[in-house]
Amino acid sequence: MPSPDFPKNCRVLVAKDVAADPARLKQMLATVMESTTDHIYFKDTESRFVHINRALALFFGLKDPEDAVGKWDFDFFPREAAEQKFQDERHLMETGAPVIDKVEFQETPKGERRWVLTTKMPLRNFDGQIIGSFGSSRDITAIKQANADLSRSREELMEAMKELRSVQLQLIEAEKMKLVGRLAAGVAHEVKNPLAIVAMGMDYMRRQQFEDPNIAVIVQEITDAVKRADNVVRGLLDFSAPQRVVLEPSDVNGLIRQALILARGEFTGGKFEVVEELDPSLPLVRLDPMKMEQAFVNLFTNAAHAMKGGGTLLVRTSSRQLTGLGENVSTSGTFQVGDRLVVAEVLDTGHGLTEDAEGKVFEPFFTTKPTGKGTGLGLTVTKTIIDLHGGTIGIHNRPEGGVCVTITLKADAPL
Amino acid sequence: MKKILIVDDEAGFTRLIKLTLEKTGHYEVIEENDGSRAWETARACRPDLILLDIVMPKSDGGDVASKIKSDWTLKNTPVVFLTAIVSQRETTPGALIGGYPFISKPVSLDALIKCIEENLARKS
Repeated sequence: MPSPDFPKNCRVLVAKDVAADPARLKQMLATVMESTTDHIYFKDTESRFVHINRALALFFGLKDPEDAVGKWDFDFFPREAAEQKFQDERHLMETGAPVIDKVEFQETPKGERRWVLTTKMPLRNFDGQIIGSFGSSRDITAIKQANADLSRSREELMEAMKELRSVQLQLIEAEKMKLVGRLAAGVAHEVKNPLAIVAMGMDYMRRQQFEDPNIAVIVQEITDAVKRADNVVRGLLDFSAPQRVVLEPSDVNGLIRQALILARGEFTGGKFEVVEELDPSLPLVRLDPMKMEQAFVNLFTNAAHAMKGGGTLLVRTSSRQLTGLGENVSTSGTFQVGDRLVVAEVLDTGHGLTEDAEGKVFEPFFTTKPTGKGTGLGLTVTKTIIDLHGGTIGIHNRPEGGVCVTITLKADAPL
Repeated sequence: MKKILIVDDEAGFTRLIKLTLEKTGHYEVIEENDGSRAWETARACRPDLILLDIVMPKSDGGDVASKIKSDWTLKNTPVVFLTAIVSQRETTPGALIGGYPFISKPVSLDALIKCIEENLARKS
Protein backbone atom coordinates (compact mmCIF):
# COMPACT_ATOMS: atom_id res chain seq x y z
CA MET A 1 0.00 0.00 0.00
CA PRO A 2 1.50 3.33 -1.04
CA SER A 3 2.62 5.48 1.81
CA PRO A 4 1.15 8.97 1.88
CA ASP A 5 4.68 10.32 2.40
CA PHE A 6 6.03 8.92 -0.93
CA PRO A 7 5.32 10.01 -4.49
CA LYS A 8 2.45 8.17 -6.07
CA ASN A 9 4.61 6.29 -8.59
CA CYS A 10 6.81 4.77 -5.80
CA ARG A 11 5.57 1.45 -4.45
CA VAL A 12 6.60 0.41 -0.96
CA LEU A 13 6.06 -3.17 0.18
CA VAL A 14 5.76 -4.06 3.84
CA ALA A 15 7.48 -7.22 5.13
CA LYS A 16 4.42 -9.43 5.17
CA ASP A 17 3.75 -8.56 1.52
CA VAL A 18 7.26 -9.70 0.58
CA ALA A 19 7.07 -12.87 2.66
CA ALA A 20 3.88 -13.69 0.85
CA ASP A 21 5.54 -13.23 -2.48
CA PRO A 22 8.80 -15.33 -2.66
CA ALA A 23 9.35 -14.43 -6.30
CA ARG A 24 9.27 -10.77 -5.37
CA LEU A 25 11.75 -11.34 -2.51
CA LYS A 26 14.11 -13.25 -4.82
CA GLN A 27 13.97 -10.43 -7.33
CA MET A 28 14.76 -7.88 -4.64
CA LEU A 29 17.73 -9.88 -3.34
CA ALA A 30 18.97 -10.33 -6.90
CA THR A 31 18.73 -6.57 -7.40
CA VAL A 32 20.80 -5.95 -4.26
CA MET A 33 23.36 -8.59 -5.34
CA GLU A 34 23.77 -7.16 -8.81
CA SER A 35 23.71 -3.46 -8.02
CA THR A 36 26.09 -3.38 -5.05
CA THR A 37 29.78 -2.67 -5.57
CA ASP A 38 30.64 -5.09 -2.74
CA HIS A 39 31.87 -8.53 -3.79
CA ILE A 40 29.37 -11.24 -2.84
CA TYR A 41 29.82 -14.97 -3.29
CA PHE A 42 28.46 -18.36 -2.28
CA LYS A 43 30.69 -21.41 -2.05
CA ASP A 44 30.21 -25.13 -1.52
CA THR A 45 31.88 -27.10 1.24
CA GLU A 46 34.99 -27.52 -0.94
CA SER A 47 35.32 -23.73 -1.26
CA ARG A 48 34.28 -23.79 -4.92
CA PHE A 49 32.19 -20.89 -6.13
CA VAL A 50 28.54 -21.70 -6.68
CA HIS A 51 27.53 -18.10 -7.28
CA ILE A 52 29.18 -14.68 -7.40
CA ASN A 53 27.73 -11.27 -8.08
CA ARG A 54 28.56 -9.04 -11.01
CA ALA A 55 30.94 -6.83 -9.02
CA LEU A 56 33.09 -9.84 -8.08
CA ALA A 57 32.96 -11.15 -11.64
CA LEU A 58 34.28 -7.79 -12.84
CA PHE A 59 36.97 -7.93 -10.19
CA PHE A 60 37.99 -11.40 -11.46
CA GLY A 61 37.96 -10.12 -15.03
CA LEU A 62 35.05 -12.37 -16.03
CA LYS A 63 32.36 -11.31 -18.46
CA ASP A 64 29.73 -13.55 -16.91
CA PRO A 65 29.41 -14.42 -13.19
CA GLU A 66 28.49 -17.97 -14.30
CA ASP A 67 32.08 -18.42 -15.49
CA ALA A 68 33.23 -18.54 -11.84
CA VAL A 69 31.06 -21.50 -10.93
CA GLY A 70 33.13 -24.53 -9.94
CA LYS A 71 36.32 -22.50 -9.60
CA TRP A 72 38.42 -21.81 -6.52
CA ASP A 73 40.14 -18.71 -5.21
CA PHE A 74 43.32 -20.43 -6.44
CA ASP A 75 42.10 -19.70 -9.97
CA PHE A 76 42.03 -15.96 -9.34
CA PHE A 77 44.42 -15.01 -6.52
CA PRO A 78 48.14 -15.55 -5.94
CA ARG A 79 48.74 -18.88 -4.21
CA GLU A 80 49.58 -17.46 -0.79
CA ALA A 81 46.44 -15.26 -0.63
CA ALA A 82 44.19 -18.05 -1.93
CA GLU A 83 45.64 -20.46 0.63
CA GLN A 84 44.82 -18.03 3.47
CA LYS A 85 41.20 -17.71 2.25
CA PHE A 86 40.94 -21.48 1.88
CA GLN A 87 42.19 -22.05 5.43
CA ASP A 88 39.74 -19.44 6.80
CA GLU A 89 36.88 -21.27 5.08
CA ARG A 90 38.12 -24.70 6.29
CA HIS A 91 37.96 -23.37 9.83
CA LEU A 92 34.54 -21.89 9.23
CA MET A 93 33.24 -25.21 7.83
CA GLU A 94 34.59 -27.13 10.84
CA THR A 95 33.54 -24.77 13.60
CA GLY A 96 30.75 -22.69 12.13
CA ALA A 97 32.54 -19.62 13.46
CA PRO A 98 32.10 -16.69 11.10
CA VAL A 99 34.90 -14.36 10.00
CA ILE A 100 33.72 -10.82 10.52
CA ASP A 101 35.30 -7.61 9.20
CA LYS A 102 38.71 -9.11 8.50
CA VAL A 103 41.04 -6.60 6.85
CA GLU A 104 42.96 -8.29 4.05
CA PHE A 105 45.55 -7.10 1.61
CA GLN A 106 45.17 -8.70 -1.76
CA GLU A 107 46.40 -8.48 -5.29
CA THR A 108 43.77 -8.41 -8.03
CA PRO A 109 44.03 -10.65 -11.08
CA LYS A 110 45.16 -7.47 -12.92
CA GLY A 111 48.03 -7.05 -10.48
CA GLU A 112 46.53 -4.15 -8.48
CA ARG A 113 47.14 -4.19 -4.76
CA ARG A 114 44.02 -3.48 -2.73
CA TRP A 115 42.83 -3.52 0.88
CA VAL A 116 39.49 -5.31 1.46
CA LEU A 117 37.18 -5.79 4.44
CA THR A 118 35.88 -9.35 4.40
CA THR A 119 33.03 -11.12 6.18
CA LYS A 120 32.42 -14.90 5.74
CA MET A 121 29.45 -16.81 7.12
CA PRO A 122 28.50 -20.48 7.14
CA LEU A 123 25.68 -21.40 4.75
CA ARG A 124 23.27 -23.81 6.43
CA ASN A 125 20.35 -25.89 5.18
CA PHE A 126 16.99 -26.10 6.92
CA ASP A 127 18.43 -28.75 9.28
CA GLY A 128 21.21 -26.41 10.39
CA GLN A 129 23.91 -28.36 8.61
CA ILE A 130 26.71 -26.38 7.02
CA ILE A 131 26.48 -26.84 3.26
CA GLY A 132 28.90 -24.14 2.25
CA SER A 133 29.75 -20.55 2.94
CA PHE A 134 28.90 -17.13 1.73
CA GLY A 135 30.47 -13.81 2.21
CA SER A 136 31.13 -10.33 1.05
CA SER A 137 34.14 -8.13 0.78
CA ARG A 138 34.40 -4.39 0.35
CA ASP A 139 37.28 -2.53 -1.20
CA ILE A 140 38.54 -0.15 1.50
CA THR A 141 41.74 0.91 -0.26
CA ALA A 142 40.51 4.50 -0.54
CA ILE A 143 39.65 4.58 3.18
CA LYS A 144 43.04 3.06 4.07
CA GLN A 145 44.72 5.58 1.80
CA ALA A 146 42.77 8.41 3.43
CA ASN A 147 43.75 7.06 6.85
CA ALA A 148 47.38 6.86 5.81
CA ASP A 149 47.20 10.43 4.45
CA LEU A 150 45.56 11.55 7.66
CA SER A 151 48.19 9.77 9.71
CA ARG A 152 50.96 11.35 7.64
CA SER A 153 49.32 14.77 8.00
CA ARG A 154 49.10 14.20 11.73
CA GLU A 155 52.78 13.29 11.88
CA GLU A 156 53.64 16.38 9.85
CA LEU A 157 51.51 18.46 12.18
CA MET A 158 53.21 16.94 15.21
CA GLU A 159 56.60 17.63 13.62
CA ALA A 160 55.57 21.22 12.88
CA MET A 161 54.35 21.62 16.46
CA LYS A 162 57.62 20.20 17.74
CA GLU A 163 59.57 22.66 15.61
CA LEU A 164 57.30 25.49 16.71
CA ARG A 165 57.85 24.51 20.33
CA SER A 166 61.58 24.37 19.72
CA VAL A 167 61.57 27.82 18.11
CA GLN A 168 59.43 29.10 20.98
CA LEU A 169 61.92 27.71 23.49
CA GLN A 170 64.77 29.26 21.52
CA LEU A 171 62.99 32.62 21.58
CA ILE A 172 62.39 32.31 25.30
CA GLU A 173 66.03 31.32 25.75
CA ALA A 174 67.16 34.28 23.60
CA GLU A 175 64.98 36.63 25.63
CA LYS A 176 66.34 35.16 28.85
CA MET A 177 69.89 35.57 27.58
CA LYS A 178 69.13 39.17 26.64
CA LEU A 179 67.97 39.79 30.21
CA VAL A 180 71.00 37.94 31.61
CA GLY A 181 73.16 40.05 29.31
CA ARG A 182 71.66 43.26 30.66
CA LEU A 183 72.03 41.98 34.19
CA ALA A 184 75.63 40.97 33.52
CA ALA A 185 76.44 44.37 32.03
CA GLY A 186 74.90 46.05 35.05
CA VAL A 187 76.80 43.82 37.46
CA ALA A 188 80.01 44.36 35.50
CA HIS A 189 79.66 48.12 35.64
CA GLU A 190 78.74 48.25 39.31
CA VAL A 191 81.30 45.67 40.45
CA LYS A 192 84.26 46.28 38.19
CA ASN A 193 84.41 50.02 38.82
CA PRO A 194 84.96 49.57 42.58
CA LEU A 195 87.37 46.73 41.74
CA ALA A 196 89.30 49.12 39.50
CA ILE A 197 89.67 51.53 42.39
CA VAL A 198 90.86 48.77 44.73
CA ALA A 199 93.28 47.43 42.10
CA MET A 200 94.75 50.84 41.40
CA GLY A 201 95.04 51.52 45.12
CA MET A 202 96.90 48.22 45.61
CA ASP A 203 99.23 49.12 42.74
CA TYR A 204 99.98 52.41 44.44
CA MET A 205 100.65 50.73 47.78
CA ARG A 206 102.84 48.03 46.23
CA ARG A 207 105.23 50.77 45.18
CA GLN A 208 105.54 52.10 48.73
CA GLN A 209 107.93 50.99 51.45
CA PHE A 210 106.36 49.74 54.70
CA GLU A 211 108.05 48.79 57.92
CA ASP A 212 105.57 46.03 58.57
CA PRO A 213 106.40 43.15 56.14
CA ASN A 214 102.82 41.87 56.44
CA ILE A 215 101.58 44.87 54.43
CA ALA A 216 103.11 43.45 51.23
CA VAL A 217 101.42 40.10 51.87
CA ILE A 218 98.09 41.81 52.51
CA VAL A 219 98.42 43.91 49.36
CA GLN A 220 99.12 40.77 47.32
CA GLU A 221 96.14 38.94 48.85
CA ILE A 222 93.84 41.86 48.03
CA THR A 223 95.23 42.04 44.48
CA ASP A 224 94.60 38.32 43.97
CA ALA A 225 91.07 38.66 45.35
CA VAL A 226 90.38 41.52 42.91
CA LYS A 227 91.59 39.31 40.03
CA ARG A 228 89.29 36.50 41.15
CA ALA A 229 86.29 38.77 41.35
CA ASP A 230 87.19 40.26 37.96
CA ASN A 231 87.37 36.76 36.44
CA VAL A 232 83.91 35.92 37.74
CA VAL A 233 82.42 39.05 36.18
CA ARG A 234 84.28 38.49 32.90
CA GLY A 235 83.02 34.91 32.83
CA LEU A 236 79.50 36.18 33.39
CA LEU A 237 79.90 38.59 30.47
CA ASP A 238 81.26 35.74 28.32
CA PHE A 239 78.29 33.59 29.23
CA SER A 240 75.80 36.29 28.35
CA ALA A 241 77.63 37.73 25.33
CA PRO A 242 75.66 37.83 22.07
CA GLN A 243 75.90 34.38 20.54
CA ARG A 244 77.49 34.82 17.15
CA VAL A 245 79.98 32.60 15.41
CA VAL A 246 82.15 33.41 12.43
CA LEU A 247 82.65 30.08 10.72
CA GLU A 248 85.62 29.16 8.58
CA PRO A 249 87.12 25.79 7.58
CA SER A 250 89.51 25.03 10.44
CA ASP A 251 91.99 22.42 11.56
CA VAL A 252 90.82 21.10 14.93
CA ASN A 253 94.27 19.62 15.67
CA GLY A 254 95.86 23.05 15.20
CA LEU A 255 93.31 24.66 17.52
CA ILE A 256 93.97 22.01 20.17
CA ARG A 257 97.73 22.61 20.00
CA GLN A 258 97.18 26.38 20.30
CA ALA A 259 94.80 25.88 23.25
CA LEU A 260 97.36 23.63 24.95
CA ILE A 261 99.92 26.43 24.69
CA LEU A 262 97.45 28.95 26.14
CA ALA A 263 96.53 26.63 29.03
CA ARG A 264 100.05 25.44 29.87
CA GLY A 265 100.26 27.89 32.80
CA GLU A 266 97.59 25.80 34.53
CA PHE A 267 99.75 22.65 34.52
CA THR A 268 102.03 23.69 37.36
CA GLY A 269 102.63 22.53 40.92
CA GLY A 270 103.05 18.84 40.11
CA LYS A 271 104.23 16.32 37.58
CA PHE A 272 102.04 16.60 34.52
CA GLU A 273 102.21 14.74 31.26
CA VAL A 274 100.36 15.90 28.18
CA VAL A 275 99.82 13.24 25.51
CA GLU A 276 98.57 14.18 22.06
CA GLU A 277 97.01 11.48 19.87
CA LEU A 278 95.84 13.69 17.05
CA ASP A 279 94.66 12.06 13.84
CA PRO A 280 96.76 13.65 11.06
CA SER A 281 94.10 12.92 8.45
CA LEU A 282 91.39 14.82 10.33
CA PRO A 283 89.04 16.64 7.92
CA LEU A 284 88.48 20.39 8.28
CA VAL A 285 85.50 21.60 10.31
CA ARG A 286 83.66 24.87 9.73
CA LEU A 287 83.96 26.64 13.05
CA ASP A 288 84.82 29.88 14.82
CA PRO A 289 88.51 29.34 15.68
CA MET A 290 88.60 31.84 18.56
CA LYS A 291 85.52 30.48 20.25
CA MET A 292 86.49 26.84 19.75
CA GLU A 293 89.97 27.59 21.09
CA GLN A 294 88.34 29.04 24.19
CA ALA A 295 86.25 25.88 24.56
CA PHE A 296 89.38 23.72 24.55
CA VAL A 297 91.26 26.07 26.91
CA ASN A 298 88.36 25.74 29.36
CA LEU A 299 88.50 21.93 29.13
CA PHE A 300 92.28 21.80 29.59
CA THR A 301 92.05 24.23 32.54
CA ASN A 302 89.40 22.04 34.17
CA ALA A 303 91.54 18.94 33.61
CA ALA A 304 94.56 20.63 35.20
CA HIS A 305 92.51 21.71 38.22
CA ALA A 306 91.09 18.17 38.59
CA MET A 307 94.59 16.65 38.65
CA LYS A 308 95.91 18.39 41.74
CA GLY A 309 99.53 17.39 42.23
CA GLY A 310 99.96 15.99 38.74
CA GLY A 311 98.54 13.54 36.23
CA THR A 312 98.18 12.76 32.57
CA LEU A 313 96.15 14.76 30.09
CA LEU A 314 95.34 12.82 26.94
CA VAL A 315 93.94 14.70 23.98
CA ARG A 316 92.71 12.51 21.15
CA THR A 317 91.07 13.27 17.81
CA SER A 318 89.52 10.99 15.23
CA SER A 319 86.98 11.05 12.44
CA ARG A 320 84.35 8.62 11.27
CA GLN A 321 81.21 8.42 9.24
CA LEU A 322 77.90 8.04 11.05
CA THR A 323 76.46 4.82 9.65
CA GLY A 324 73.52 4.34 11.99
CA LEU A 325 71.77 5.49 15.12
CA GLY A 326 72.87 4.38 18.57
CA GLU A 327 76.53 4.86 17.78
CA ASN A 328 77.41 6.36 21.10
CA VAL A 329 76.65 9.80 19.78
CA SER A 330 73.61 11.93 20.37
CA THR A 331 71.84 11.98 17.04
CA SER A 332 68.62 13.55 18.23
CA GLY A 333 68.32 16.19 15.57
CA THR A 334 72.04 16.92 15.62
CA PHE A 335 73.60 14.58 13.10
CA GLN A 336 72.27 12.47 10.28
CA VAL A 337 73.30 9.06 9.06
CA GLY A 338 76.02 9.63 6.47
CA ASP A 339 77.54 12.68 8.20
CA ARG A 340 81.29 12.63 8.61
CA LEU A 341 82.07 13.45 12.23
CA VAL A 342 85.16 14.80 13.92
CA VAL A 343 85.53 13.63 17.51
CA ALA A 344 87.83 15.27 20.04
CA GLU A 345 88.32 13.65 23.43
CA VAL A 346 89.94 15.21 26.48
CA LEU A 347 90.82 12.63 29.12
CA ASP A 348 92.33 13.34 32.51
CA THR A 349 93.42 11.24 35.47
CA GLY A 350 91.88 13.53 38.07
CA HIS A 351 89.33 12.96 40.80
CA GLY A 352 86.42 12.42 38.41
CA LEU A 353 82.85 13.54 39.00
CA THR A 354 80.40 12.53 41.69
CA GLU A 355 77.11 11.04 40.48
CA ASP A 356 75.38 14.28 41.43
CA ALA A 357 77.91 16.42 39.57
CA GLU A 358 77.68 14.42 36.32
CA GLY A 359 74.22 15.75 35.57
CA LYS A 360 74.98 19.33 36.53
CA VAL A 361 78.40 20.16 35.13
CA PHE A 362 77.01 22.22 32.26
CA GLU A 363 74.72 24.29 34.50
CA PRO A 364 75.79 27.89 35.10
CA PHE A 365 77.64 28.52 38.36
CA PHE A 366 78.00 24.82 39.14
CA THR A 367 81.55 24.06 40.24
CA THR A 368 83.36 21.27 42.04
CA LYS A 369 86.38 23.48 42.63
CA PRO A 370 87.17 25.14 45.96
CA THR A 371 86.07 28.75 46.44
CA GLY A 372 88.15 31.08 44.35
CA LYS A 373 89.32 28.38 41.95
CA GLY A 374 86.44 28.37 39.52
CA THR A 375 83.58 30.56 38.41
CA GLY A 376 81.29 27.66 37.53
CA LEU A 377 80.88 29.07 34.05
CA GLY A 378 83.71 27.36 32.14
CA LEU A 379 81.80 24.26 31.04
CA THR A 380 78.60 26.28 30.52
CA VAL A 381 80.44 28.58 28.13
CA THR A 382 82.10 25.56 26.48
CA LYS A 383 78.76 23.85 25.93
CA THR A 384 77.26 27.06 24.56
CA ILE A 385 80.14 27.28 22.08
CA ILE A 386 79.72 23.64 20.99
CA ASP A 387 75.95 24.15 20.67
CA LEU A 388 76.55 27.20 18.49
CA HIS A 389 78.57 24.97 16.17
CA GLY A 390 75.79 22.39 15.94
CA GLY A 391 77.94 19.87 17.80
CA THR A 392 77.52 17.79 20.92
CA ILE A 393 79.49 17.56 24.13
CA GLY A 394 79.37 14.80 26.70
CA ILE A 395 81.22 14.08 29.90
CA HIS A 396 81.58 10.83 31.81
CA ASN A 397 83.80 9.24 34.41
CA ARG A 398 86.50 6.89 33.13
CA PRO A 399 86.58 3.42 34.74
CA GLU A 400 90.26 3.90 35.51
CA GLY A 401 89.63 7.30 37.16
CA GLY A 402 89.31 10.82 35.85
CA VAL A 403 86.85 12.02 33.24
CA CYS A 404 86.52 11.91 29.50
CA VAL A 405 84.98 14.86 27.70
CA THR A 406 83.87 14.10 24.16
CA ILE A 407 83.16 16.80 21.61
CA THR A 408 81.57 15.75 18.33
CA LEU A 409 81.40 18.09 15.36
CA LYS A 410 80.26 17.66 11.78
CA ALA A 411 83.12 17.75 9.28
CA ASP A 412 83.16 20.43 6.59
CA ALA A 413 82.69 18.01 3.69
CA PRO A 414 81.34 14.48 3.46
CA LEU A 415 83.57 11.52 2.60
CA MET B 1 105.91 65.42 31.05
CA LYS B 2 102.82 64.18 29.22
CA LYS B 3 99.42 65.55 30.06
CA ILE B 4 96.69 62.96 30.50
CA LEU B 5 93.00 63.82 30.81
CA ILE B 6 90.92 61.15 32.51
CA VAL B 7 87.16 61.39 32.12
CA ASP B 8 85.25 59.04 34.40
CA ASP B 9 82.27 59.57 36.70
CA GLU B 10 83.99 57.38 39.35
CA ALA B 11 85.82 60.09 41.27
CA GLY B 12 87.65 57.52 43.41
CA PHE B 13 89.06 55.88 40.31
CA THR B 14 90.24 59.11 38.66
CA ARG B 15 91.83 60.21 41.93
CA LEU B 16 93.82 56.99 42.22
CA ILE B 17 94.84 57.13 38.55
CA LYS B 18 96.08 60.67 39.15
CA LEU B 19 97.98 59.64 42.28
CA THR B 20 99.63 56.59 40.77
CA LEU B 21 100.46 58.06 37.37
CA GLU B 22 101.81 61.30 38.80
CA LYS B 23 103.87 59.31 41.29
CA THR B 24 105.88 57.94 38.35
CA GLY B 25 107.01 61.50 37.60
CA HIS B 26 106.21 61.17 33.87
CA TYR B 27 102.63 62.34 33.73
CA GLU B 28 100.40 65.20 34.71
CA VAL B 29 96.81 64.03 35.15
CA ILE B 30 93.69 66.17 34.89
CA GLU B 31 90.47 64.65 36.22
CA GLU B 32 87.00 65.25 34.83
CA ASN B 33 84.07 63.41 36.45
CA ASP B 34 81.29 64.92 34.33
CA GLY B 35 81.03 63.48 30.82
CA SER B 36 79.03 66.46 29.58
CA ARG B 37 81.94 68.77 30.41
CA ALA B 38 84.69 66.53 29.00
CA TRP B 39 84.98 68.26 25.64
CA GLU B 40 85.28 71.75 27.22
CA THR B 41 87.87 70.47 29.70
CA ALA B 42 89.83 68.87 26.86
CA ARG B 43 89.74 72.10 24.84
CA ALA B 44 90.92 74.04 27.88
CA CYS B 45 93.79 71.75 28.96
CA ARG B 46 94.86 70.36 25.51
CA PRO B 47 95.95 66.91 26.77
CA ASP B 48 98.39 64.58 25.01
CA LEU B 49 96.00 61.67 25.56
CA ILE B 50 92.47 61.19 26.85
CA LEU B 51 91.34 58.23 28.96
CA LEU B 52 87.59 58.09 28.50
CA ASP B 53 85.05 56.04 30.41
CA ILE B 54 82.24 54.69 28.22
CA VAL B 55 79.28 54.34 30.59
CA MET B 56 78.66 57.72 32.20
CA PRO B 57 75.51 59.64 33.07
CA LYS B 58 74.54 62.72 31.01
CA SER B 59 77.01 62.11 28.17
CA ASP B 60 78.57 58.73 27.42
CA GLY B 61 82.08 58.03 26.15
CA GLY B 62 80.93 57.45 22.58
CA ASP B 63 79.36 60.94 22.37
CA VAL B 64 82.41 62.59 23.92
CA ALA B 65 84.78 60.74 21.55
CA SER B 66 82.74 61.86 18.50
CA LYS B 67 82.80 65.46 19.69
CA ILE B 68 86.55 65.35 20.22
CA LYS B 69 87.11 63.75 16.82
CA SER B 70 85.13 66.48 15.09
CA ASP B 71 87.04 69.27 16.85
CA TRP B 72 90.03 70.24 14.69
CA THR B 73 92.04 71.33 17.75
CA LEU B 74 91.60 67.90 19.37
CA LYS B 75 91.09 65.46 16.51
CA ASN B 76 94.70 64.17 16.66
CA THR B 77 94.58 63.61 20.40
CA PRO B 78 94.61 59.85 21.10
CA VAL B 79 91.51 58.61 22.92
CA VAL B 80 91.60 55.37 24.91
CA PHE B 81 88.32 54.03 26.22
CA LEU B 82 88.01 52.69 29.75
CA THR B 83 85.32 50.09 30.18
CA ALA B 84 84.09 47.65 32.78
CA ILE B 85 81.68 45.90 30.42
CA VAL B 86 83.93 43.74 28.32
CA SER B 87 84.12 39.95 28.32
CA GLN B 88 87.18 37.72 28.34
CA ARG B 89 86.67 36.90 24.68
CA GLU B 90 86.69 40.55 23.67
CA THR B 91 89.97 41.45 25.38
CA THR B 92 92.18 40.13 22.61
CA PRO B 93 95.31 42.05 21.59
CA GLY B 94 94.54 44.85 19.16
CA ALA B 95 90.80 44.73 19.82
CA LEU B 96 88.95 48.05 19.37
CA ILE B 97 85.65 49.50 20.50
CA GLY B 98 84.13 51.79 17.89
CA GLY B 99 87.55 52.08 16.28
CA TYR B 100 89.24 53.17 19.52
CA PRO B 101 91.69 51.18 21.66
CA PHE B 102 90.38 50.33 25.10
CA ILE B 103 91.42 49.25 28.57
CA SER B 104 89.31 46.87 30.59
CA LYS B 105 88.74 47.82 34.21
CA PRO B 106 90.25 46.87 36.61
CA VAL B 107 93.64 47.54 35.14
CA SER B 108 97.11 47.28 36.62
CA LEU B 109 99.34 50.33 36.62
CA ASP B 110 101.87 48.56 34.37
CA ALA B 111 99.22 47.70 31.78
CA LEU B 112 97.84 51.24 31.93
CA ILE B 113 101.25 52.84 31.38
CA LYS B 114 102.00 50.41 28.53
CA CYS B 115 98.73 51.33 26.83
CA ILE B 116 99.29 55.07 27.34
CA GLU B 117 102.82 54.91 25.92
CA GLU B 118 101.75 52.83 22.90
CA ASN B 119 99.06 55.34 22.01
CA LEU B 120 101.26 58.36 22.61
CA ALA B 121 103.86 56.78 20.30
CA ARG B 122 101.19 56.25 17.66
CA LYS B 123 100.31 59.95 17.82
CA SER B 124 103.90 61.06 17.33
